[in-house]
Amino acid sequence: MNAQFKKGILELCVLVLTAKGDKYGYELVQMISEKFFIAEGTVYPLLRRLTKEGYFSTYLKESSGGPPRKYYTLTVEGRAYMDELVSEWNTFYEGVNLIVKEGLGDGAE
Amino acid sequence: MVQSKFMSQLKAQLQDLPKAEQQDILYDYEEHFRSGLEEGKTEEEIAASLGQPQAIAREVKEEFRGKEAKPKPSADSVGKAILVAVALGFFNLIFILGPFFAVVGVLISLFAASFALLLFPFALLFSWNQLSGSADWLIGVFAILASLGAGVLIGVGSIFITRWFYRLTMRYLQFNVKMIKGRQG
Repeated sequence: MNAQFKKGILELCVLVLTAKGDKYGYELVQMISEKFFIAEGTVYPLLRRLTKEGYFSTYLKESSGGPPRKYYTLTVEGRAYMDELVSEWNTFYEGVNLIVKEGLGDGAE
Repeated sequence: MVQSKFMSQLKAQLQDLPKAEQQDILYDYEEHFRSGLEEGKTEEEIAASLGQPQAIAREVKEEFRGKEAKPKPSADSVGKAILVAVALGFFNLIFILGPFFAVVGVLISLFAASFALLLFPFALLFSWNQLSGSADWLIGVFAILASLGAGVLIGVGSIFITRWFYRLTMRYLQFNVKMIKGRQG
């Protein structure tokens, strides 16, 4: 898959995955890689950029018996950006689906 | 690949980033390894699914540079802008202002000349009754035609020169603004 395209989708995924509650990096990576293949290492640079752009804020929280983990919280700007990306994605998804259906559907229709 | 090898390779790839940035990035991957180990994965498994350290470093630098591409005005660049503005101010005052007013003066006098040449025939017409004799009458007609022609030519020419000069001035002003703002402006 095109790298730029995949990056945009990963961006959408991490934003959506934090919409209902703060997550730490490993958690986010696992939730995504359960669904489709990614080079897991590429999620962290993405999280860093989104944090720098103000879409995430981070804090450290103690884990059970280990060093603290970095948690990501969606900011107000992040939520607005997520809504934007989700609606873009829906338009895109519906459009592609329609094309696929028309392209592969019965010729009789 | 085991954790220590992965981390040292990644670290080597990030050498040209600021120290704080490097540590931050490395911390994220240490945390990732720790979480994976807690889940019972092996170091090799975790490293394999993370991907190549080189690829990660490339990604990190891309994001880092993307961030840098739109720099905020730093104290340094503001200082530079002021310096450029002052230097340009002096340059303009000494070398540009004189010729500028000279050209403006020439343009004003050209318009005035054109205006006078266009008015002259009317003055001549008003004093028509004072002209007597066929020779004077002919000279008068020629004078009117010549005056009108010259007036129109100079007037149209002046308008062209003024337009060109206006555009040149605007471009020069834009160039000044660009110089002060820096290349992005």
